[in-house]
Amino acid sequence: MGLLTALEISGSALDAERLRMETLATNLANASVTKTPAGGPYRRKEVVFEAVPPTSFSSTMQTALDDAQERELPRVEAKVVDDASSFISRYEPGHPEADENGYVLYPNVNPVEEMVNLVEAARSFEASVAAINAVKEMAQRSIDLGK
Amino acid sequence: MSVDLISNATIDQLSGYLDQLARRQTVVAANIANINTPGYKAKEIEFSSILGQALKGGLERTDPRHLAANGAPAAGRIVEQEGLASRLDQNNVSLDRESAKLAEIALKFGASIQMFMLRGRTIRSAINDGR
Repeated sequence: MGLLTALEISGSALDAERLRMETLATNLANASVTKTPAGGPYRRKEVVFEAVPPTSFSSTMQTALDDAQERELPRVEAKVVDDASSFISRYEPGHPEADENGYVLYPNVNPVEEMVNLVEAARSFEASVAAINAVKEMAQRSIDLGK
Repeated sequence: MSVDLISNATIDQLSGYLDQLARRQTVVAANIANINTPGYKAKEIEFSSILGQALKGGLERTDPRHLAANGAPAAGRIVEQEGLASRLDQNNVSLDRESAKLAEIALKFGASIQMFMLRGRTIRSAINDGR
C-alpha cells in the first residue's frame, strides 16, 4: 500500500536522529573526561548519515512489477564514528593527568557546537514526526471512506 | 437511464488522484527523512511525464519486455528537483518547503476523501429512496 512506505522511511529518520541525539548527549556528558579505561581523554563521537535504498529482493521485484518507484526511495541510516580531530591541550601543572610539561589533554568536544547540533537534531526529529502524523491521518481518512 | 453505480468516472479519477497524492507524500517523507544526509538531493514526482501520458491517453510501452498496464493511471517518474540551492554538505532539502508540501498534500487528500464520501452518500440515499 502506498502510504506504508512513507511510514517506513520516516521511521528510519526517527531512528537516525535519535542515535544522533544520544551521541551528542554522550559527548556533552563526557566533555571533561581526561581519563578513560583505554587511557587518554574521551574522544568525541560523531554520527554519519547515509541514504540507503531498501535492499530486499522482494521489494525490488515488487517495484519491477508495479512500477512503484516510491518503494525504492532511500531510507536514512546513521553510523557512529570517532572524531579524529586532535585533543585540546591545556596547561594545568597540578592536574594528576598532566604530562612532564604540565599539559593535560582534554576531549575534543565543544559544548556550544554540541548544543547547536542537538537543537538541529531535535528539529529534524520533529519534522519526521510531522510527516508520520500527516501520513497516518491520510490513512485513517481512507479508512473512514466506507462510513 | 443508466447510472453506473459502483464504478463511474468520478470514482476512477478520484482513486487515481488519491494514489498520486499518496505517492507524492511518500516522496516528501523521504526528503524530510534525509534532510541531514550529506549529498542527498530533494526528489519530486515529475509532472510533465504525467501530463504527457495523460495527453497520449494511457501508458506507453517503450520496450517489448515492459509489462503492460492497461488503464492504469499514469505514474510520474521520481526525479531530482531542479534549481535548488545546496548547503555546505551538498544537501538541498529545505525543511520549510517540504513541510508546506506535506500540509498541502494532506489537505488535498482530505478534500478528495470528502468528495468520495459524498458520492457514497448519494448512492446510499438513492438506495434508500431519498430517506
